[in-house]
Amino acid sequence: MFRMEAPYPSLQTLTVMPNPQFSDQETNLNTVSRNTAMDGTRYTYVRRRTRRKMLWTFRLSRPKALEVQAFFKSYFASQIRITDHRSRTWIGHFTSNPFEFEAIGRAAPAINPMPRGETMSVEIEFEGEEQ
Amino acid sequence: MALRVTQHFVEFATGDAESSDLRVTDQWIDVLASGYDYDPDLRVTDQWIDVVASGYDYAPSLRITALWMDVCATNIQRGFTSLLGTARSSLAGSTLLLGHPLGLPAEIQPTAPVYEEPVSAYTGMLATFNSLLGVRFQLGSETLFAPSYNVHASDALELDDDGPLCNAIYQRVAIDDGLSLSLDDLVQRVFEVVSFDLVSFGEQAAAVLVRASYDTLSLSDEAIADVQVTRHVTDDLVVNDTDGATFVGVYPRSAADNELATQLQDTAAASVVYRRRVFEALSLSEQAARILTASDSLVLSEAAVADRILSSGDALVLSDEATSSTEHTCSASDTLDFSSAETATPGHTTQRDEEDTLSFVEDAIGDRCRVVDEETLVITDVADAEKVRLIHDELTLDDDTGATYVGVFYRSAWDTITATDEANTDRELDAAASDAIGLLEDAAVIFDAPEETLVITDVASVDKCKYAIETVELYEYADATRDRITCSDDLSLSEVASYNITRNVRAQDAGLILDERAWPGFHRVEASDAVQVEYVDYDPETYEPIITYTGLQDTATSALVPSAAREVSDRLYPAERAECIKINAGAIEAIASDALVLTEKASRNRLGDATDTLALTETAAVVSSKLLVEDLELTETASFSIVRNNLSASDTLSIGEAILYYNALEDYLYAYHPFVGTGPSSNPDPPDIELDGPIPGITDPFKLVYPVVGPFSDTLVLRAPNLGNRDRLQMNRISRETRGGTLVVYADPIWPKIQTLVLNFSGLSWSEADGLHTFMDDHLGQEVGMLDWEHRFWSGVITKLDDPIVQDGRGCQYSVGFEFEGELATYSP
Repeated sequence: MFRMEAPYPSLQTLTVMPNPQFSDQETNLNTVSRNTAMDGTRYTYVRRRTRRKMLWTFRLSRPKALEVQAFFKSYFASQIRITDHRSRTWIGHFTSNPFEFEAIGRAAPAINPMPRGETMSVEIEFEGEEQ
Repeated sequence: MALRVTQHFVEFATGDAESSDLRVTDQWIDVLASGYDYDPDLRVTDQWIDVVASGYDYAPSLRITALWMDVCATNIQRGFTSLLGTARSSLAGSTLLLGHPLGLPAEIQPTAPVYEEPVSAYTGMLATFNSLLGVRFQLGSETLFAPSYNVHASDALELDDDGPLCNAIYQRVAIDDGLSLSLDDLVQRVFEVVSFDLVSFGEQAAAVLVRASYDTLSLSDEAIADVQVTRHVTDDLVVNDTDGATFVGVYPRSAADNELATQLQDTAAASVVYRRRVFEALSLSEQAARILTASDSLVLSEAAVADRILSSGDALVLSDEATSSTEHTCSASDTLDFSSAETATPGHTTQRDEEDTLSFVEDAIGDRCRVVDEETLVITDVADAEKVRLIHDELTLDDDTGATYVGVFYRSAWDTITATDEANTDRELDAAASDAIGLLEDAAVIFDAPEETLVITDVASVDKCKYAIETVELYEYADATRDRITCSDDLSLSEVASYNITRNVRAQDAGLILDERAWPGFHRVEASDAVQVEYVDYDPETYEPIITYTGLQDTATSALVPSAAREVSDRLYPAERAECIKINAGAIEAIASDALVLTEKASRNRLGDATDTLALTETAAVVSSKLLVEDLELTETASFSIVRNNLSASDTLSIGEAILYYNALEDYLYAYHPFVGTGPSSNPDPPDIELDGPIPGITDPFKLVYPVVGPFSDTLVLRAPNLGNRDRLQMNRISRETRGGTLVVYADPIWPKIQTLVLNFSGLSWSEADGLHTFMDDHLGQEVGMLDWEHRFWSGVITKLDDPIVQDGRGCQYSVGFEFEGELATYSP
């Protein structure tokens, strides 16, 4: 189970999502710059970041997509706490812009009177630190 | 000499040879030809000539000479005589008022022969001011003559309706005058009211500057005083407005006028500064803005906003949505009362000397309060006091309804409570300070239990003081009464009292009392407690510090229950940890409570500065629960017992509230989850509880309409768009990475949020596809309405028009698409 809570630390909204699709990404943001002196000595300059850049793709029912869409509208610039599908906790920000929801197919009918069922796909880019 | 010489000039110049040195224009010659007795010693400029030639409109930037005054007087007298001549029949029996108390040049005194009629025979007014004359006659609804006005004494000046005097200049209204501006009169210059004046502005009158002494100033309706109101003594200012009037003024007053009251009511906004010096009563209601007072009684009600208040001997009452955002400085016998307010917010800083009472009721929020000596601070209900600094203060948070929580509630993680209390002073002065802090935590846990950690750090340091006492008491209680529960409770307390002065200092730290109990309902319990106390004494000869550690004082009770299978431990450490591990979901009700009381007291016998900051953050998490109740009670007391010299004290209490939970039932995980929770007011607005569902009664699969608000003049019905449509949220925000690598993201709430729908249609007939292009042609760039396939109504514009119509096959196989940028709107055909 995948949870997003915001705004951190005074949390007031939580949304629960299914696990992301395969091909999710986790990127190390550290950088290294290599230089060589005239005498052949190799120097490296590094920049360490404790953040990781995450990329998740979710397939959501239409009501859940609307819920997540409302979550983005309220907290797109707030600090977010995410508990990912590996039960790791991350504190950080969304970096996706725009947030694009695509209706990729049909789904089971939703609960009345909610909008009719579709399957939505959304990709979330997130940068944060693991707690 | 290339003078431009006209016939008139020649006729005049032949009588005075020296005037040929002047620059002569047609206008000047006209003046001379009009009969003026020319004085060649005067300096005549083009400006002067322009003034004279154009009548008598006063231009303050001109250099006015005696010559100009002469000409002005002559022309006015002449014009006035002519005026009387034309209106003579209508003026019979009326009264002409003259006034010039400040003195006039002798040559322009309005003597009787000028007007050739008895003074009492006309209605109207002639007023003089310095070198300017003005006259006005009101004959019925007609104004005969309206030059610039300058009124001195005993004059009655009235401007009514839309008369031609609207743009007149009122330079001075002197003693015993009554000045009334009403209706649409606009006085855009300067009012100077000297003394004993009555100035009244009605409706839309606008006065830029009003200066008065012993005045009664009344602003009503939508009157706007844009700049200053300067009042000296014994003033009475009443501003009444029911229609959003705005008052901006400065009120300096110099003497006692205790019996008078100044009131701003309704939606009046005084957005600049009010300065009142002594014994004034000032009342602001609703949106009044700034107040600077001394010895005032200030009342703010409803939405009043007082940005800055400097007062002495004040009684300050804030109610309703009042906001006091800056400072209160009071000297003695003050009462600060926040009562029955829904969202009252006393703003930032309150400094009061003694015998003050500060109370917050309901939703009152006190951002910053500085209170000195013998104050009582009471916060009840859901009150938030973000920063409260007290000495000898009592702070109480009571919650009688059981529905209010201070802290963060959620069910899935650890619960951490941190209390940090620091009091510091570095001045060697006679002072004593005591600070009592009480924390009461009570958490009830059913089913799964969280891991809960309570950390209290209490540091009181007195760098330069001869005597200090600090007592910390902790009471911890953990109870797990049901089966199959393991409960551990670790309480850690570290207390250090240190003294940095090496002469004649004695430190005593013996007031550490620990009472720890653990009642396991079953099985075996282990408890251990470690406490170490450090004593510092000094050698009487060398003054070297001698540090003595008194060993561990540990009181632990363990009860062994038959058939011990699980373990409950209760230890006293520099941290508290309560863990309740469960665990049979849905079957066993378990209750865990954790009560922690911390009392801190620091006393000094010398006066000095002390700062005591208590920050509490409490979080209780329950993964699955039927009931979650958590109460937090704070009690803080700080006081000075001796006050001899300059003394400053500050005390800050920050309290934040947030509640968050979700229902973990499986059925809900796949449905729309209504966001339930609450947090501090500084949080972003949470999502709506409900989504915008389909509009009932709509049968069209997809429809474009124009205009957005019916009746619609143009509609186009299409089939629903293809799957693969996109809903794009484009929100503006900025991201910056600090030098240390921290990612900072910010978005202003007013920055635009754009939602774009990307839609493609297929299987259209030619008439439908062509109709879509026709619709886009007809309403290019206009706001149109769209009923989408979910029967939700959008208003916006079609932004991408270049998608071609493609015929994919025979018959109705046309495809087309567009992008729509807009937002959900109300459907009103």
